[in-house]
Amino acid sequence: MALIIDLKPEEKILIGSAVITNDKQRTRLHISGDTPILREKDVMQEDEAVTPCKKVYFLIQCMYLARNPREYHPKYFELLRMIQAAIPSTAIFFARINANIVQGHYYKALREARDLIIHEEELLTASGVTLSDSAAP
Amino acid sequence: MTSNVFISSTLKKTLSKISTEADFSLTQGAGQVISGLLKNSKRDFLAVLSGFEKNLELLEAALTDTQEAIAILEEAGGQTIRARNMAETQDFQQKFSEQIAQCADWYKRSLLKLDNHIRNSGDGKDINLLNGDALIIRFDLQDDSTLITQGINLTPLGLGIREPDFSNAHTIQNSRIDISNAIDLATTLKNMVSSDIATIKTRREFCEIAMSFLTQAQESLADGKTDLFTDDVLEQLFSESDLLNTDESLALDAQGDLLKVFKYQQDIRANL
Repeated sequence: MALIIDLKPEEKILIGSAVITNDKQRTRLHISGDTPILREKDVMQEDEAVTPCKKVYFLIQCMYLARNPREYHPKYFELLRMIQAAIPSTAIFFARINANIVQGHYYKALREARDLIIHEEELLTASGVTLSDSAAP
Repeated sequence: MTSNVFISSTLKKTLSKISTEADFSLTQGAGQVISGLLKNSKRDFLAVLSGFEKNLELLEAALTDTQEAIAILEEAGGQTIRARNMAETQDFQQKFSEQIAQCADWYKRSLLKLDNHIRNSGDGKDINLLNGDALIIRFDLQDDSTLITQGINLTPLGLGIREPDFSNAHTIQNSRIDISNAIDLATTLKNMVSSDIATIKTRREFCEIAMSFLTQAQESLADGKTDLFTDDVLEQLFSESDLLNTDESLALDAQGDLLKVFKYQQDIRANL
């Protein structure tokens, strides 16, 4: 079954290794096949990945776009180790993210990673920790 | 804070999605609840892993058998080339009739060998990819994610190899074409199986590492380890994670370039 995506005027979408920019009217795309698809709102640039959990999101995004996602596994697990050691409650998010990665469902893994980012934000707010300028989200 | 873990609204939402047994308004013991859920995740990962092992064995055997089938087909192909060269003209054909007949005999023997090889390939297994069976590999217990390796029938009959006729150059050439097509099909199967082996090995490796982290987290939560969100610990976490991309980009060239293209188009649009 084809995936149907409605694009707003001038909205961009990443399909496979191509960036598609919509013109000035609304467009509906019907996409069949198995290729990475990321909408503009889901794309994170590396300079936006300024917190540990945002880096997790960024790395999953790269795995999704990569032909060989294995190349990202060492950095991903290194980050997971650091985060989980400091905040053990994140393990439940990682369990769900990892299950999706094993299944090849990277888009779902990204959705779970978004929850991880919100958890991180809530934790930072609740703890009242003020981080140095370079590290702050 | 009374809990050993930080209960954010996102964590509550996530826990309520996957568990009905706990009251997450109780902050006491949340670590144990998460620990219990991690145990279930580990069980699921283990079940998937055991499937990987069995199927990998089958795929690796199929890969070896396909390579052997290609070698047999190449033997047969060699006979067609020899025979064709000896049957180029009528004179040659008469002169080398005995040798051509010998080639035809070897060709037939090769096809027989191939037929036996394909039939034996499935010995003791439910699935024989070389006989056209399909292998379904499950990446989860709900069957939401599967990898299907569709086999190809590599028996001479399945490959559509015609009855050999080495009576003249034209009919020998027909056999030559049949073998070339058969080698193409067998090579396709070999490539598919190789690619699926690589996919499963990557996921198996990921699964094993993910499981080891699950075990660590489970143990630390069961031991009552606390979420450490003091200034020091978080500062350290942020600076450690920054080290990952201090010297080099987190993204490899291909993905980094693609994201740059995305950003570049965004910037152009903003400036219009």
